[in-house]
Parts: sequence; C-alpha cells; structure tokens
Amino acid sequence: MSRGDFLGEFEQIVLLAVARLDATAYGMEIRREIETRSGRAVTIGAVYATLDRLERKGLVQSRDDRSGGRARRFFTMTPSAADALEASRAIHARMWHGLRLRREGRRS
Amino acid sequence: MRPPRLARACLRRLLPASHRDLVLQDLDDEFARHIAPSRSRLGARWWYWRQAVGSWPHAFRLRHPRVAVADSRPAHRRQHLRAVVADARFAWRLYLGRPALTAAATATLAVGIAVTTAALSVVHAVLLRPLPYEEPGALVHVGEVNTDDTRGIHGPAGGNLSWPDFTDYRRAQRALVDLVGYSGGSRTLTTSAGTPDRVPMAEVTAGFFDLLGVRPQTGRLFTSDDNEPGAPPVVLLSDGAWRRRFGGDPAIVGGTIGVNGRPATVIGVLPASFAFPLRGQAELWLPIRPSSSQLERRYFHWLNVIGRLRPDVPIEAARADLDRIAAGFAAIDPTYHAATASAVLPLTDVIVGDVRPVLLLVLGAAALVLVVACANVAGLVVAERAARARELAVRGALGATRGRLVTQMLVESLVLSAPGLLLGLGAGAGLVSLVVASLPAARRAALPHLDSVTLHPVVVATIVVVSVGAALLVGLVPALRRPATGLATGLRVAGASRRGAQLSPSLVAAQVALSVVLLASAGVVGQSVWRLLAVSPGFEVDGLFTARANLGGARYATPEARLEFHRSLTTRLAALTGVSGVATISQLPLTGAGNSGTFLVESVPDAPERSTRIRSVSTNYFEVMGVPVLAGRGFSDRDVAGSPRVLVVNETFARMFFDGRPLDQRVAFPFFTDRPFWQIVGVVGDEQLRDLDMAPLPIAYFAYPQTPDGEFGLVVRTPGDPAALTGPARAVLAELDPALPLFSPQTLDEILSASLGVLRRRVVLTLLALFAVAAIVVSIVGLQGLVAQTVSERTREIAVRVSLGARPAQVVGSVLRRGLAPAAVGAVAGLALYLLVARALSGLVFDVSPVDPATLAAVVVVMVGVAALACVAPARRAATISPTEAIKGE
Repeated sequence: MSRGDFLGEFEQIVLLAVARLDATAYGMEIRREIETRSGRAVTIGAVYATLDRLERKGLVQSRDDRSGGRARRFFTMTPSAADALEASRAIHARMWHGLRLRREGRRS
Repeated sequence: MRPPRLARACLRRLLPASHRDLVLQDLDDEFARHIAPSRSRLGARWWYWRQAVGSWPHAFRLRHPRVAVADSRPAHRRQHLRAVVADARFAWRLYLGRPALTAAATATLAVGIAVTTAALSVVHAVLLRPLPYEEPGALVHVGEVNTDDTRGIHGPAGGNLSWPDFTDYRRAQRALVDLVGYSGGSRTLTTSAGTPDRVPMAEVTAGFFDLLGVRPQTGRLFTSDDNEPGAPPVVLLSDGAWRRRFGGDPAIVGGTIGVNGRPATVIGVLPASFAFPLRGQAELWLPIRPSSSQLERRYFHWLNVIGRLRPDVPIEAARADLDRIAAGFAAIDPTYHAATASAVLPLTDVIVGDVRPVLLLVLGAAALVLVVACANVAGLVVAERAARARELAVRGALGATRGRLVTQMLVESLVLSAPGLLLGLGAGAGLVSLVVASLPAARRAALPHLDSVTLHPVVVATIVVVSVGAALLVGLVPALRRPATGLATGLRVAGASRRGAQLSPSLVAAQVALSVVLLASAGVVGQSVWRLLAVSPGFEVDGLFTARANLGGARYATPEARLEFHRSLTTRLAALTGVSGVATISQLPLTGAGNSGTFLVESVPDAPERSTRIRSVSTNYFEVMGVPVLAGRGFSDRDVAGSPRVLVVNETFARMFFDGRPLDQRVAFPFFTDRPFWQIVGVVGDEQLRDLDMAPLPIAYFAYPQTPDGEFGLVVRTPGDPAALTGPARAVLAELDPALPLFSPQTLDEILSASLGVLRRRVVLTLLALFAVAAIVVSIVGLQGLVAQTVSERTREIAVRVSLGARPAQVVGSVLRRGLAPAAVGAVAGLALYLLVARALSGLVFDVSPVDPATLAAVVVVMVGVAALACVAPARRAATISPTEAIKGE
C-alpha cells in the first residue's frame, strides 16, 4: 500500500459490514448492519458513495443481480481489502501499544 | 404508505444514472418493509426525508469521484477557496455600502425565518420528538367503546375501563407486555411549612412506571405491595413539586406530608425528564387503591389504561386480542356490556392527535411567510443585479468564466442572507417562548416537551439548510439569467434592466398571492372565533366567580356534616358585599363532560340502558346561573333529604329519551344502593358542559340536599369584578375551616377563554393574523419598490409624454396600472390557491364556510386597496415629472 492510502474510519466500517454479511451484502443491508451494530444513523447515500470509492480502490467487487424484478448490487471483498483491513488494525494496535490515556475531570 | 414524493424526486435528480435505481429501490424497499410498518406516518416520512436529504452530498460524490484525480486537486481546491473568500469579502463590502438594500433583505428574511423557526420548534417538540419513555412507539392507550354507540360519545380513544374489565383484559390478553391503569384528581396537600393547598395528582396501578421505563431520581418507585388495601400510605413527588414546594431538599424522601389530612411517606422523586401529558400537572403520584364499589362494579368506568405491545406484535393484533376478551363481557354483564369493544390507539395519537393538524397548519402558514420573504429578497437581488449589469458584463468581457460569475453571485446571496438568518433564528427562539408562555399552564402541560421547547439542534440545522438553499436559489435565479444575456446587451444597461424588470412583477404577484392565502385563512378563522364567542353557553357568563372546595377528612364523613358546611359556606359567601347570588354544582360548566350514569326508565323496564351526564346542584343553581326553566319546576327549598326524590333534566335529555315529554317519568340509577326511583319534575335549558363548538349533552340534575357530595364547584354572581372575590372567598372558607383550601379560583370568563374550542382557534387566529400582516407588509414593500423603480426608469418616457400633452391623471393612471396589475393577478392567483388549501382549515372553522364568499371578497378588496395605497407615492412622483427632465436625462 502506498503512502497516504490509509483506510478512512467509515471505509473500514463499511468493509467490515461487507465482510460480516458475506454474500448477502447489498446497500440497504449494509446500512442496517452498520446502524444496528454502531448505533449511528447512516444514510443510504453515504454507504453507496463509500462502496463506490472502495470499488475504485479495488477493495470490493460488485455483481448486479436482477432476479426478482429489482436491481440489486451485491458486494464482496477483494483479497487486497483483507490486507488493507489487517494493515489498519495493525496500525491501530501499534499506535495504542503501551499507551494509557489520562482522562482528567471525568468520572469513569 | 408511499415514500414522500418530493424527497424521492430530489434525490432521484441528484443521483447519477449509475446508482439511481439501486439507491432508490433500496430506500423504497426498506421504507415499505421495515420503516412504514413500525413507525407513525409522520415518523416514517421523517425517516425517509432524513435518508434522502442526508444522501444529497453523497450523490454529489458519486457523480464526481475524487479517487482518480487526487494528485492535481489540492492546488485547484486552494485556488478555488481563495476566490470564494475574495468573493465573500467583496460581497460584504458591497452590501455594507448599500444599507437600504441590506436592511430590507435582512429584515424580510429575519421575519420569515423567525416565524418558521418558531413553528418548526413547536412541531418538532410536540410531534416529532419521541415521548420521554423507553421505546415509546410500542405504548398504546386502551379504551372501550360501545359498538352500537352511533353518536360516538367517547371519540376514537374510547371511554374509561371499569376495574373488573381491566383485570379481565390484563389476565387474558396475549398481545401486550402488560397493561397498567391510572386515574387522576386532586388532593389537599399539607406540609409543615404552610397553609393547605389543593394540588393535581395521579393514581397508578402497580407496574405503571416500569411499563414506561421510568426510574426515580431519588428514593424508590411503587411496588405491588403499595397498592394493597391497608398498606402504609406512600407518595411520589414530581420533580416540579419537589423543587417548588420542598426547595429540592433530598431529605424529604422518607419524610411525611399530609395528603387529604392523612400522613403519607414520601418514598421518592420522579426525574425531571419525566412527563405524562395525560396527567400533565400531577404533582403527587399515589398508588391506586380502588374502593369496594370500584372493585366490584363492572359498569363503573373510571380507569384510564395504557399498555405496551410485545415486540413484533402490530397494534391491530392487540386490538383483536382485546376485542376477543371484550366479547366475553356480554355473557357476564348483558345489561351494560352487551356490545363492548376495545379502542386501542398509539399513546402518541391520544396525546397529540387533535393538535397535530393545527400545528401542521401553523407550520404551513409560517413556511408561506418564508416563501414570501424569499420572493421579496429575490426581487431585491434581481433589481440590484440589473443595476450592476454593466459591471458583470465587463467582468465577463475581461475573461471571467460563467462558472466564476455564478459562484460570485451565489456567494453574494449567501452573504446577504446570513444576518437575516442569524437574526431570524434568535427572534424565532424568542417568539416560541412568547407563544408557549401565552398558553394556560394546564394546556402547556398536556403536550409533550412543550414546557422545555428551545432551539433544538435539529431545528436549527433544518432552518439553516432551508435558508442556505433558499439563498442559493435566490442567487441562482438572476445568476442563471445574467450570463445568458449576451455580452453586447449586457454592456447596454437599458437592455439589461428590462430583463430584470420582467422578473419582478411575477415575484411581486407571487408575494401578493401568498399574502392573500394567509389573509383569507386568518379571515375565516377570525370569523369562526367571533361566531363561537357569540354562541350562548346556556347561562349568563358575565360577573361569575368560580372556585372549588373539597370536604375531606373525618369531620365531613356524614351527609349531615357536609350539608351543614355547604349551607354555612353559601350563606356566608352570599353575605359578602357585592355578591348577588351563590350556588354550587358538582362540576363547573365548560370544564368537561364529567360524571355520567346509566339509568333505567320505570315505564319501559325492558328498554336498553341509557346514559346521561349527571350533576348535583344547589337548589338555587338555575336562578343564579340564569338557566331558564322550560317546563315543570326547578329545585326548591323543599327538595331535601327525606322528601320525594326529584330530578331536573335539560332539554337535550328530554328530547333524546322522552320525545320532549319527560315530566313525571321515574328513572333509577344503579350507582345508588337500593336503586331508588327519581321523579323528573322539571326541564331546564341546555347548559354547555364541554366546549362551545360541541353538541349539548343530556344532563340529569340532582338537588345537592338529596346528594350531598364531598366536592363541589362554587359559582358566585356579582355585578362588580368577579376576580376581586378571590380574597374574600378564601377568607370565608378559612374562617369556617382553616384546613380546607379553596382551589382553582377563576372567573367563568377565564374558563371560557381557556376552553380548547376557543383557545385553539384564538391561538391560530393570532398567529395567522400575525403571519398575514408580515406577508402583506413584505409584499407591499416589494410592490412599492417595483413601481418606484418603474417610475425612475421611465422618467424620460413620461417626460416626453407630458411634453406631448399627456395630462397628470393619465400619467398617474399608467403608473397605477403598472403596480395594480401584478397585485390583481396575485390576488386572483392567491384566491385560487386558497381554494385549494382551504380544506386544511376544516377543523378550525365554526359556523362559517372555509370558502365564505363575503370573507374572500373582503380579503381581495383589502389586498388591492393596500396595493393601491403603496402605489400612491410613486404615482405622485410621476405626476410631478416636468418635460424638462426629458432633456436632463441625456
């Protein structure tokens, strides 16, 4: 991975949702997965825009399915996405390693 | 339910073709399958709007993916940003140098935004914010209806339940997590500090707070033991009562207060966030302990009931489940439960159902004001651009691209609208607290979140988005037209200003049209208020002081003691100076339907049960109130305990049950032990118990000496100021028994003004009138500007015409036509528009058609008249133009 190609936080979340949903990942399913797991409201537009970018970066592949009368685009991760996610996790782990944050003025 | 069309269409336009069907189908699918079934109509539409609007920027990203061109971007973007900042600076200086234009735009926008902010704040607080409970969407209100009740006495929420009905539902139902009951009233509160006070309270069954998911801020909630008969008396305080009456002292928990003269232990304080609008003012919360008659009598309907749906159980299933149980009541109690069905509604609908259309109407009206304001600012900007046509054309000639010019104009209109936006938001916050404060406390407490309504971030964000959108639109209209003007025409100023002048009349006409819609609405609602107040409530309203008294405690346990107290209280009050009459009634008129009773008629023993409202009145009540005796007699001093039991009924009762001939009929009410018969001895005129706009109810009046209850309302007639009687009345009561508070002292006029039928219309009328005036002022200023501009542009032409012999009247006429033409077009268009939306007023009109021709004609006359006035000054200026100005112009 070249310099400056960190995965954004939301990109990571979308990728993880795609991974979790396995073969059934399409836009609204991904949106709902993120909303229920993160508790954050997410718009469908944000999900598609991010998937589009991930596809341009070669991290997901899409397949259009027109069975059942409605167009749906299913997404799967590419092998390089797994690498990218692992790399992100490793970066996080290294950054956190041995670190303890002091939270002043906050009761835990 | 279909997705909101506008939201869908906007998103559709913004999305690139590659993603259009994908996103919209996903969104529609989710809406139809998951969102619409699980939320209220408004909530579901809100969800869709949020999804759609939130997706707009992403639609833009999908159109212009950045990944491929990442390298060259930053420099470009920085340059772009620098240009925008320069534009903003330029615009700032520009508008500082034109204070008249800036002030007009700012004031206009501020008015539009202020009213919209205020209306949206209330709508958001009352209709959109969820009730302050755990998963409020699953809460339902449970009532009962008679399926053969064709008059719809109870409305959609149904009537109360009896205790046996409640326990049967609770035991046999399967669709709900649980059912809980509550009831309300007032109690005399004695604290160590001061005089006794009568305060609103609520009684609840075990599990009430658990069902709502409420936890106390200190102390504990009720357990089922607290509801057992004979358990030590306990009480919970509302946060408000705790702060106001006990100074927020935590030590009160565990302490003792007097409730109706008996000590009760304070076990906890409810959180400040807790509100239960259906008993909005309750300060004390007590465990329900039903009396033996309440426990046993299935026909005694007194309990309000709410429940929580089990997860994934739709409300229809709950309705069917409870109906199944209700059907079984017919076998247990064929007399009173022959045709009972349940009425299950979302709790939100019961709380805000009737204010929803009113609030949406006000929001719509406010939005119209905002549109008028935007149109006005658009007119100003168009005129201003026309004046700067040469500058813009020169910049175009020097190589500024069309995109560059458009950006500059958009930035300019953003800068121009910013002060108005900020002012408007501030004024909106002020306006909303003013409106809320003007409502009676009881009405405020009956609506969720209203007491704490502030500028919510969601409201601010919505207003900012709408305003910025409007500002861009306003900037865009002339911006898109301007570069289309060719370079050559642009450099010729006269040609450019003609284009500007073409746009303005239609903008002015649009403003006039919307003003007409607002004015017509205000006119029709105003007529309704006027006609409503002219309706007689069945008695003489003026000069009546009212209050309530409650004879609690052991001292008044016997009927004799209550009667004795009643006699001395009324006698002493009557002896006060300036008092011409004193009477009592169990529940004051115009304060609600109140107690009802079913009865049997002696002469038709097999007839089905009938139900009437019941009141217990002092024997002189009809004389003091001015209620006419129409047949037979009123009560007299001979109607006392032990003498023959007599009843006076009202006209509606006589007509409904006895074809107008009720005299000497005998009826029995099952709520009296032994069910004695009462003889009807008189018929009196209809007295309005509820709101003036409602049909009169049947009433059976008992004489107080024959039914001496512990609580009654006092009515004191005086030729002077009734409000001045509060002090003396209180003193009289304190003299008789210092432990008894006199509560709810108010004049009957105050009761009338606070009644929902009047209040709702009056509030809407005030707001609509305000909006209409604002819209008219704004559009008239616009009109005047247009005419003045025309006159100054046509100075030369007019001078030439005058020199060729045109008379001043002809000149004035031609100017007036310029101004009145758009006003007339606007007025007609406004009328047409009003006819389309008049249906929205149907819940507010009273005794007048929403399309009342006289009102609409008056509105048009007013509008055109005001428009003509606006043209006077420019027309006079035109009349004084002399032929020499034709030469000066060159």
